[in-house]
Amino acid sequence: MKESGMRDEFGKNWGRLEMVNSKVNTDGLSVLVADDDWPILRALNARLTHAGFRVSTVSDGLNAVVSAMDTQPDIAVLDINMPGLDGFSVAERIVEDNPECQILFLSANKSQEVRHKASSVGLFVEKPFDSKDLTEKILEAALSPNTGQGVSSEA
Amino acid sequence: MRPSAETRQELDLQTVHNALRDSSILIVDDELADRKVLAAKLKSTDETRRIVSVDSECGARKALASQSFDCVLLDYHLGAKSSEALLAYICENYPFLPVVSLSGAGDETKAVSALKLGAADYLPKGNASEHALDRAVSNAMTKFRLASSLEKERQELIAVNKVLLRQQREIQSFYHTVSHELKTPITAIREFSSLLRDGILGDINDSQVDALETSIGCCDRLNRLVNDLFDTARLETGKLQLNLETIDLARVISQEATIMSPLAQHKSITLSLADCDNRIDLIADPVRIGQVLANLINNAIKYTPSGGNIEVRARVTGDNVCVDVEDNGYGVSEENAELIFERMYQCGTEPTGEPSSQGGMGIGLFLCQQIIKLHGGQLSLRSERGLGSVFSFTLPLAA
Repeated sequence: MKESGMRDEFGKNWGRLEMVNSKVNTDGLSVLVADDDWPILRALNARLTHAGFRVSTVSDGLNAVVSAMDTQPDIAVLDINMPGLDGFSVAERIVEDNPECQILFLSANKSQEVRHKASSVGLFVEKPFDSKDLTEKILEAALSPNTGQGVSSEA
Repeated sequence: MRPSAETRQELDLQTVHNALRDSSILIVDDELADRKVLAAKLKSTDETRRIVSVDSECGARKALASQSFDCVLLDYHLGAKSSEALLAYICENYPFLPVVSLSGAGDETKAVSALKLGAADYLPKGNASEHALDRAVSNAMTKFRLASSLEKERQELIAVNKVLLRQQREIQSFYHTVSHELKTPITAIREFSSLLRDGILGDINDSQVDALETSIGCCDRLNRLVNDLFDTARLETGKLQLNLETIDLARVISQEATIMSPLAQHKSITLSLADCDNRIDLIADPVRIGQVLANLINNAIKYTPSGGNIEVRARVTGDNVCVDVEDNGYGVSEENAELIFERMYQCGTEPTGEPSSQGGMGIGLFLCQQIIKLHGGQLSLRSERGLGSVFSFTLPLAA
């Protein structure tokens, strides 16, 4: 058990951190979530906080870049279609600053081009997503070879 | 009654003749006597012709600039010079003004070079009868008017086509925006329902879990509808592309059947598979084929009363595999069977009181058929009212 103390940008504290049935120790792993739709942001914050991640949320691309430089997240979950900087540009800048950061794109656009472009940089999850799939994908990103710090397996 | 060939010809000639009346003709010739003879001959066959005569290239340019003409009679020799420069000038600046080149008798080479430069026709000047002259001028005018009206229509079509292409792009981008805008709230509703169901936002009881499962199911249905709408738009613009790979069709069938089985159970319908035990390898888009199967099974469940049976089976015949989705439900009447694959089609009200239109947008089967066609196969329906339906599609097997 760990107190998250994470408040989203709307002031609501979603932090009730429990490690329920999670095989992977997500303690200490930080996730940056960027999406311009605040209900999705809130829902993701609740889901990922519950799964044990340290979560920070931002609602546009520029803030995502600024926040990533500040917090050096292990994983960035980026909506592709955002005003100003889109998810691809954000990913480029984050990885430039922090090559260890794993990228997971979210989008309602499932066209070949978008999917292809996304998978050349990181993982891709289509909206609407199944929360189980999403959490699994994030863990997959967390466990991928070039990060892995702070991750251990418990049988 | 069809007009006789003669009447038709008369009508056509009359139209042509009328169209050529009151024409203005420019004669360019450096010899006064020749100008007079030509003018007289032209007037003798059609007195409505207005004739303007000039004796030099300079005079011709001035005349062309001051009024419009229907035809130019141009002597090949203007003084010591040839009139080729003037001919080129007219062809470039008045593309729909026909020029008939006049040459001395036996001067075929010059006539041919005038034709190459863009003259409509040529005449040997000396012995041209008034009828030969009339025919040359009339034919040249008719030919150029037709060309001009064709060109005008072509330009109009190009303009209309441009507008249509722009509108098509706008509609495509509109569909794109709509699909994105609809999916964003669906994502949030679905995720909050999941958070509630998973107890992440507080403890809940079984009937609340059940309600939230239904809510999540509805989000998925809504999402499928949005996808169908978007796919239809992509189909219309030829932008629906398949992601082809080698797939085991038997596996795709059993996966889709597994996904649909709770829906069938809910209506106490038996959903069974036959002949899907062995691998059936083919090259196809697994997501699209899954979409077709889900659609067909979903339809079968919709139009089969409680207690009915649905069977999905695959048969390999020659180079194809044929998949049947058979139900013993309400069936489709013969006239509806022909319309059922059309876009926006919905079953009308049925007099027998059984459920007729079950909602939906009327694009599911249209999409299924188009997807199967894109794969090089065919989707068809055999059905009898009151006995049930068999939807069958074929797909080519991997070579």
